[in-house]
Amino acid sequence: MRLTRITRTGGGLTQAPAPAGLPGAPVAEGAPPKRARRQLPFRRSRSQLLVLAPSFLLLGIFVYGFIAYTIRVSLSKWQGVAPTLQIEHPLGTTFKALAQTARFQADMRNVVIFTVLFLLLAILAGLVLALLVHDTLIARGLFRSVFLFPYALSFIVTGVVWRWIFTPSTGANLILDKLGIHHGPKWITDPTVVGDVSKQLDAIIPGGHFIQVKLGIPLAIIPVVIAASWQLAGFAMANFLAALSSLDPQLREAASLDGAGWWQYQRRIVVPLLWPMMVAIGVILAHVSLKSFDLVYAMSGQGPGFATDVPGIFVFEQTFRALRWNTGAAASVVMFVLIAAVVLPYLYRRTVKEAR
Amino acid sequence: MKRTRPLAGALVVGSVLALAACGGSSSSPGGSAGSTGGGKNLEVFSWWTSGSESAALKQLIDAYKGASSGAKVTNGAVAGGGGGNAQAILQTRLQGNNAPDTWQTHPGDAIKQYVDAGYVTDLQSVYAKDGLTKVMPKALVNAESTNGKVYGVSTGAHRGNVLWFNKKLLKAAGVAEPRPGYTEDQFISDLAKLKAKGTTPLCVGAKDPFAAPQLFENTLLGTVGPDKWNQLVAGKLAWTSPEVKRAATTFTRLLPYADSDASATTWDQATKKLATGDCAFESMGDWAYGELTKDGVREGTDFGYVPHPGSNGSFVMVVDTFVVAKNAKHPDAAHKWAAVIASKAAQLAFNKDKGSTPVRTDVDVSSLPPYQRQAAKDFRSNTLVWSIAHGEATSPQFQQSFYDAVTQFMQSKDVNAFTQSLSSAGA
Repeated sequence: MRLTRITRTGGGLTQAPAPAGLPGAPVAEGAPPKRARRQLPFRRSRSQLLVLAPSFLLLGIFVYGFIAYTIRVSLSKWQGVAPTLQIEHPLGTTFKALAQTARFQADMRNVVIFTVLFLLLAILAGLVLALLVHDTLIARGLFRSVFLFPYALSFIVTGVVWRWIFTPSTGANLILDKLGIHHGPKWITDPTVVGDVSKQLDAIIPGGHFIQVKLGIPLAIIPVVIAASWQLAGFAMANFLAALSSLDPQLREAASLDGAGWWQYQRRIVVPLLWPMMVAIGVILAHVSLKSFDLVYAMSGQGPGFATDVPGIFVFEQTFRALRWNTGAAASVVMFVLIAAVVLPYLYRRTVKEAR
Repeated sequence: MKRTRPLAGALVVGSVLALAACGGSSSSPGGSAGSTGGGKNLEVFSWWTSGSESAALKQLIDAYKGASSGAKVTNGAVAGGGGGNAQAILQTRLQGNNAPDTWQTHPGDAIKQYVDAGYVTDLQSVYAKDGLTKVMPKALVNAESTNGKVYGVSTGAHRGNVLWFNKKLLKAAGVAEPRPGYTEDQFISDLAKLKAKGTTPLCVGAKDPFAAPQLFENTLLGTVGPDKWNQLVAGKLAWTSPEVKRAATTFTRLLPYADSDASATTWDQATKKLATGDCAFESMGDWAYGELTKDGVREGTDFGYVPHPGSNGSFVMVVDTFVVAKNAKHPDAAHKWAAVIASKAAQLAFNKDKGSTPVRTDVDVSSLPPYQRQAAKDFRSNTLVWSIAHGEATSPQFQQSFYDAVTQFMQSKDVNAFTQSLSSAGA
């Protein structure tokens, strides 16, 4: 019983500590509290629909309308300055060409690796910070602000500064040099891809040589993961803190009466209770990561041999530099599907299943 | 209770789409920029926002105001190097039938695309009135023309194929200063000497997508020469031909001498490194000249320049051009603008600030600094070719594929795969 209550409080709190304009806000919107819905069913109140109508209309045009238009463009022949929506034959030629583009294959590899590493690091760092700050007796507000501040920075600022730090001959390596490590890592200039499995995959995928890039972990992406986690760990921490403050203090007393130490209490009681919040943060951060553009653009750009290129940069360059509107739109559709694959199951569980 | 479910479902879908759309829809770039509202404001649309660029643009605007009393100008400049952002906004406005009176673009395929789409009007009257065809290079006028009519007026020409060097570093390494006629082989042996001395031989600002393609482009010109260059960009010579492969091989011989920080360095940082003595050579267009003088080093004593090895006698043109909208709100003012920016006085004032060369060959350049005087002399006597890396020689589609192919080639060093990807790059 307690667990389910905490679950819901935890999820609802997603928006509570977040600054305005946070991408998390719409998530919570989809799940109005149960009680409110029971009291005010929409069918009983036309005025409610009227109130909602403008936002539905705007959403309809500026979100659904443009999504539909993007899908339409991705199936067209539109390249160059003169727009044309003439359909390509055979249908989906652009998508097929996109799948065979070496750069886009590298982008897909990078965005998956980036998202996985970034989620692990940001959530872990956020959790550790939250547990430490929560148990700190003095200056809790100060620490909270200090760790949350990076989140207030623009990604461009973060990107430029971290680029300086991770430029081999001028940045962090100078410190390593003083410590006696004379040939430090090459950081964002390292073109190495470790753990290449493309040969094994090529053997499985029919049709011969399809994968044109090394499918592994590009080392240059790790500094970008560090920068992104530095920026967003504070956001994860704030959410964890909110969830932590909703925990019943008696839990701790009960645990210590049963002989549980600090570590056991955190691991066996707190972390399981924080799990729903962890999932919520994971979904928000995953969609930030999947559509990332500005941080990577400012920090490493496409990187050596596309080692840090992401779909967002690809879309921008194909659309506005190369004027391949159909290719840019097709890549956007792929990004859209990726994000939907992360967000939809979560929202489905949060709203439809819990309503039952 | 049950009836609310579809609505809840709709909200769910709505939320996910709202989330996804933030990164998803590329076809809806943000609104129009600059005011277009009433009055007799001539709207000039460009991507000149940096220090020297906006100063140069102001020279044009002042010249225009001086020539037509009481005229007002709306400066619709959109920041973003190379005009990526400006392009996005311009595209939206053209489709919304809300074109600026005149806008910045490149000669060649960029202008042709606007002509073919019916967005721009011809400037035959401007050229006829001032006899401009006689005082501008034929290669330039041709690149601004479609079906015998000329559609653009250019402001200045930057030179793409310049090799800059730090004189003190060369002297310290016992390397003779390059002179016109410098060859690729001499260049590579000099790079090796510098490396042996522990100096970073070659700076490349590869963080900027154009910089490595620029180095390859200069190497290509140095290897194949201007005639074959023109055949290549015209599609009359295959990208898989032996000359191109030889250039690609030379390029791979240069790469080991490049700064190991290259992929984290922008072109202006790379230029600064040359100024501060952190590297000896940089192959970069002559916008680097303004950057070098800004960094406090002096031409002749601190740094020198030479056409990129093998490309002596050729001038790679990187040119900005203004076109006039077909349905301009102020057509007369826009034509006036085109005439004014082609005038001798405006050309001189603009190029003094921009660091480029007047495209009019009858402008007296004796008041310009030595480098610009030399560039003007070369512009008037050399074989002129168009830049691929900066989009004048080919379509924007090819340009992007050229960038991507070079980026991949720098890691793979697979000459055959590289030339193959260039030959299929136009699609």
